[in-house]
Amino acid sequence: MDAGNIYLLIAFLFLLISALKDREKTKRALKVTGKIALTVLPVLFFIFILMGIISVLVPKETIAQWLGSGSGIKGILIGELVGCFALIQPAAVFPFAGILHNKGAGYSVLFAFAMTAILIGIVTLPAELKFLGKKFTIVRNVLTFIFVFLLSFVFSYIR
Amino acid sequence: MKTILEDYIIELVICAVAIILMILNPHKVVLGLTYAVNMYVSLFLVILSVAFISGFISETVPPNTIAKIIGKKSGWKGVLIGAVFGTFMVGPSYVFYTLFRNLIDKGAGINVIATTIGAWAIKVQWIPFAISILGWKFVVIFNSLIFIYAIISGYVVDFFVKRKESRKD
Repeated sequence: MDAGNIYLLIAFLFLLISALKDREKTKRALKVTGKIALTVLPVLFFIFILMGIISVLVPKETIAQWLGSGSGIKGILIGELVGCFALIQPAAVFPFAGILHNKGAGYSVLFAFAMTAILIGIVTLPAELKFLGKKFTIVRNVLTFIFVFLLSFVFSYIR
Repeated sequence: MKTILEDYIIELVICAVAIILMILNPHKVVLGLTYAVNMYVSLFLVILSVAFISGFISETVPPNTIAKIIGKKSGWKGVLIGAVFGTFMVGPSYVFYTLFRNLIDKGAGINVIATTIGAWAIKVQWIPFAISILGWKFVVIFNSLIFIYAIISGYVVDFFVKRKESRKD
């Protein structure tokens, strides 16, 4: 994951500047970092295990099959649901959508799938719940689902 | 004991689901676990970096400044900053949830954070590639709609989530 190096670099630069400027503050910042890391790392570890198992159970071919199985409203809904459950790295969404497009999947289905795949993750929901709160999570995800559904209609008219 | 249970209820539930799936599909456990460990290792440093960036911001940037730039009263400027920030960010968004939590606690607007998460669906670095396989029409409309959606969703989420709803501790 090369893109992640950007954050490494930024963090390193911050650390360097901070250490040069104010040792005490840097110490405190590192303490906070430790606390944050201790809350994030366990949750993400379990989430990754769940991701690993589900991605083995549901291979990409199966997803492709599901996405090709409907059109119209049904197709959009299937696209959205599959997107919610699909464990696909954001960076892999477009290449995957390209393959599906070549196989004949409609734009509206692709849009529904790509949007929800990036914006809604059933498996990462726990992390959102834990850090951003119940209300935030529920409102954001429900809203996204509805929005994507409406926006997908726009795509039904594009060929 | 009760507080431990409350604090880790989410982890426990995920763990339980994972174990059930493993029991139902014993022959795929190793593959799944390998995938999990690989991903964890590759993201480990990123997670730590983001944790440090959050820690650094919360120690060095005064809440007033955060509130001024991306707080409730920052208006459309804050929203725009959130949208642009989300547009250019790389990596999975869930790694950043703690940073967002931190920023909200320090005075960032809920609308700005929700907009940032929404704009995450725009993947700038993939646009050229996406155009080449899906056509410019799809890509342009896709990204414009997401941008508009991100900003609207910020306001709607903010409307439903009042500031005092943020975590108590």
